[in-house]
Amino acid sequence: MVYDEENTVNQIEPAVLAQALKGSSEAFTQLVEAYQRPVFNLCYRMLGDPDEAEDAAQETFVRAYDGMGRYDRQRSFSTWLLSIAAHYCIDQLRKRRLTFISMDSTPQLDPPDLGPGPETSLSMSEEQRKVKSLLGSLSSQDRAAVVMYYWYDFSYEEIASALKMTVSAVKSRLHRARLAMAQSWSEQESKAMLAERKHYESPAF
Amino acid sequence: MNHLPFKEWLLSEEPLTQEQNQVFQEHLRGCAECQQAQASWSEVQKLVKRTPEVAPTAGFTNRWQNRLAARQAKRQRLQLRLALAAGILLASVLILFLGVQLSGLLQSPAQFILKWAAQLASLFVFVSSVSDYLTAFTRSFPLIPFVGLVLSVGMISLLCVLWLTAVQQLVVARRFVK
Repeated sequence: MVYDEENTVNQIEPAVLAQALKGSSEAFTQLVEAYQRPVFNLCYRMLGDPDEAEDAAQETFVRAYDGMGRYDRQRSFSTWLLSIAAHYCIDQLRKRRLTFISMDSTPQLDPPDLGPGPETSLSMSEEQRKVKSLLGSLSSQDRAAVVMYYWYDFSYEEIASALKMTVSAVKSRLHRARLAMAQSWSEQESKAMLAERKHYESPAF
Repeated sequence: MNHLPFKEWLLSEEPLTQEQNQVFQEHLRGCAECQQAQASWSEVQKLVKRTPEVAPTAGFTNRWQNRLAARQAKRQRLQLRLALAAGILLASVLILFLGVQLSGLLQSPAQFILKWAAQLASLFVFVSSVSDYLTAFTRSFPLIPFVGLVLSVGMISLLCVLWLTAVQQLVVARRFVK
């Protein structure tokens, strides 16, 4: 397994990767099994919708399968794979922006496969909604950098390599993203407090 | 109040020096705006840390295999259609050419045969002159025939390898075995 509980992506067996590079479909299936979760999670964080994330994750693996010949063995496979996923999601977000559909208008579905009891699930979906809202306040490139940095512990260099930008651009984007998320959080809290106050000040109370 | 370096420090993940930290803490004690920003960023960090990764629904790999198989079948259909279209185009051109030639043969067979004989003769003359030219050329440079031969064989081999690689990459699509 390549994905542990601390949201870090480990390295897969080199033999499996070598077999996949030789064109073994069975070995590539093992890669899909191993990396489906980090790829899906990145797509979900980027797109904010489980159906779109599923489609993007599937497309990522199809593109990786077709492009195995272009994979550079010097690079980490997970970085390469997540780079494909991030670029695909960035393209999707660009297309979405062109068709004037914002993240807020996508259906608020519960994230799949979280598995806890109803109460925990409710609080988790609330947290997932908050995360979605925070990430929604960022540009697609900033969002990709944030997801790679905070969910996968990618270094600045790895993010720069995956998103084809300089290390200083990554640092700058992350700084801007932190500021935007902190402001967005502050606004969300203010709105929530205002709504709560209005609720208690209403004639029913 | 100027918050610029403090907000930079607040959001930076680089460790501050002892002196910077002292200045920052002093500023923080007297600045409600920076306190608010720090609290918000701290909450965001906590939220991100405790938010679990999201996994796809069960059967992801099977769905991916089906998608890949469908994509490969679509590509093969497209390649087949392209090959068919190219074949039809080639056959049409050939039929058109043969039609024109046949009509000439039917209208005046003697003239048609004479015309083709003349064309064959001019072709023969052309080949012969090229051959003479090459012979004269190779005689003037005795080393060239051998080098030329090696280069020609090398070029032809390289082209064959490139052609085979292209065929392997483009035509023989990897079939996914379930």
